[in-house]
Amino acid sequence: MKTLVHRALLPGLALVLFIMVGGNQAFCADFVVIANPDSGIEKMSKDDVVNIYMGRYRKLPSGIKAMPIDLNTPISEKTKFYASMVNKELPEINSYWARLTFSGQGSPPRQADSVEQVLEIVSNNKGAIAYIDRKKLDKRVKVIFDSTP
Amino acid sequence: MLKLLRTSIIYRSTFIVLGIALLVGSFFAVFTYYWTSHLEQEQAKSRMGNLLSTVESTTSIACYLLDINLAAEVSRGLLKNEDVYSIRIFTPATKLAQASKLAKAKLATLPSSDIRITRDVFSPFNTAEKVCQIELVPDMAFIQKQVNSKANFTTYLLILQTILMALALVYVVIKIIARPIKTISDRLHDLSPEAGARLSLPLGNERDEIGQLVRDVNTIVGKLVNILEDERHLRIKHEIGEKKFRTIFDNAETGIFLLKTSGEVTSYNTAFLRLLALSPDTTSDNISSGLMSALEGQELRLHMMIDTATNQDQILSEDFSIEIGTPPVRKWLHIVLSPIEDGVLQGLLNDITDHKTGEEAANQLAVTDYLTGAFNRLGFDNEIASLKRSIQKTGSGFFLLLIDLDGFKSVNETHGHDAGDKILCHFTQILFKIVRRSDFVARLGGDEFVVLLKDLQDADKAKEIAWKIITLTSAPIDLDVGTQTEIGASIGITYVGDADFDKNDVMRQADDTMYAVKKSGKNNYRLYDPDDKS
Repeated sequence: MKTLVHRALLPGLALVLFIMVGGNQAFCADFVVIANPDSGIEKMSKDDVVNIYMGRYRKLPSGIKAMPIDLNTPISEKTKFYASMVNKELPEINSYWARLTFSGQGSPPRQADSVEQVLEIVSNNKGAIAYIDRKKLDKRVKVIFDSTP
Repeated sequence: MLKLLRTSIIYRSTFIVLGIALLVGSFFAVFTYYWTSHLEQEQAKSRMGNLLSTVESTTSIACYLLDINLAAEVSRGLLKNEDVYSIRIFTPATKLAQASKLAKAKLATLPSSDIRITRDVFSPFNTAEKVCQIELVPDMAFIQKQVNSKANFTTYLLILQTILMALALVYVVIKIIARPIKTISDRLHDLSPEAGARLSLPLGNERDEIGQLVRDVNTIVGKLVNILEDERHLRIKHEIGEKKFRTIFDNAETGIFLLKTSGEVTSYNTAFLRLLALSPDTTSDNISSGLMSALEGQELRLHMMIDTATNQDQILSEDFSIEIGTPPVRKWLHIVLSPIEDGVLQGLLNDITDHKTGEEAANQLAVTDYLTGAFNRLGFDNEIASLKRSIQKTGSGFFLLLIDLDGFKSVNETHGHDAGDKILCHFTQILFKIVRRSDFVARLGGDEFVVLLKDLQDADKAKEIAWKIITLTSAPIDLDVGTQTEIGASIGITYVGDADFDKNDVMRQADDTMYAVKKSGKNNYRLYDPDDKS
């Protein structure tokens, strides 16, 4: 009986939660896109961020080779980012990249396993950009896009 | 062929049913062809649209990234559809992919009537951003071929169905309607109803309209046969009647004939010929004019009869005395004429010769003195009346001799009445011997005689005759063997020359004169003298 509750109820509960998160992204999308302070850019539009993350643009507006970074853990950050930016779920994003990889054109953003690793990469690479929870900001990076205007 | 159409229900119905079926079938086939064709084209278009929708997301990614490889792959994929002729993915600035079934060199010569399906492709991440256009040219030749083959199939199916339905209808019409009618028609054609034949019911049609038709025909045929039978009986009856009538007509003693107002006989029986002494071999011209020629000299009377009968619509009859045959025989014919229709009269002809002869004999008997054979007083009266008419016509008068026998009474008393009768006969013979055949002799009664000397004006001649009478009379008469007697005659003569004479006056003159003779000695004659009034 207990196992049945675990198996059936929990994913259902998670789905409800997920829908609530997706539906209220304006409240929950509390992330910022960060870049290296030496990247030569101050601000980026939402489209610019999307173009770089989806592989359309390979360079930052300043001419530096762009290096977008995905945050794998916690996964909710990544979900929140894609939902907010391109209104897509992660399987769709994965499918998108799978198609491109097959045709040999481009590759998905570099995957980082923690916020700390993200911050590390951005602070060490001029062209790197990444999204993090606003609360995890530190001085090694600068905000170039804010999800909450 | 045309003749068959006109004369055969089977051919005509087959022709009409097939004609209508083919006409209607063709109309529907053409309609179906165009409708199917249109439908297939619409379906082809919608299929193209669906194809585009299928590849839309991939194309959108390819365009978003300006990924030529991905775009080329999409194009190749699309081209695998047989009904796609060419595909082009492009942005206003660049051409991402272009593929066609033909070599690139031939691309320029695309069919001009091409339908191009162009669709705007939007960014996968921003539905407001148009990233490229995809243009698809369907392979119209192929599609058309497909469409045609489908439309043709449907059309052929429809035509086949129509023909089969029409043939089935024709079969039904022939089997159920035309064939039984033809059968009946053929049987009716060879039917001999007068022999009592009837149409047999075609098998299977006993209860339907054709059966009804056959029964009705049989009823009518039966009625007709009955009518014919009645007609035949009537005709036989009529012929028997006709024969009877003919026999009566031919064997009648009475001559029966039809004649025109001109007097020409148009129809007659054998009695007619016999009565007019015409042989049946006589030419018809002679027969038709036979009546007129028989009545030669009296035609006017016949014409008067015809006119009166015709104009006054009366039945007239008259007697005609004719002389016919060789040697000529005198005959009396009684003719009755009755008008029967315009310009035609019916005539009856009877021989009344015997009747007339008898009548004459009776008349003769009435005016004759039975004893002497001379005329009697009635005969004398008739003769005087006739002489009156004769004087009016000819103007010539006559002498009247009134004779009384002298001594007759004593002979009668002495020798008896038989002797008296003998004397009277003897005297009469003397008179007949002396006078002419045309003169007239009568015994008025007793021993009183009258002689009329007609057409005579000579008094001497009259006197001479009177003297002859007296002379012969005074000769002795043999009564019996050995018995003789003598008589005399006193004669009074008077002349009548005026038609207005009065018989009694004349008789009185003769009587007076005769008595004067008696007084002056008998056995003499004297001529009446109007001046001598004594």
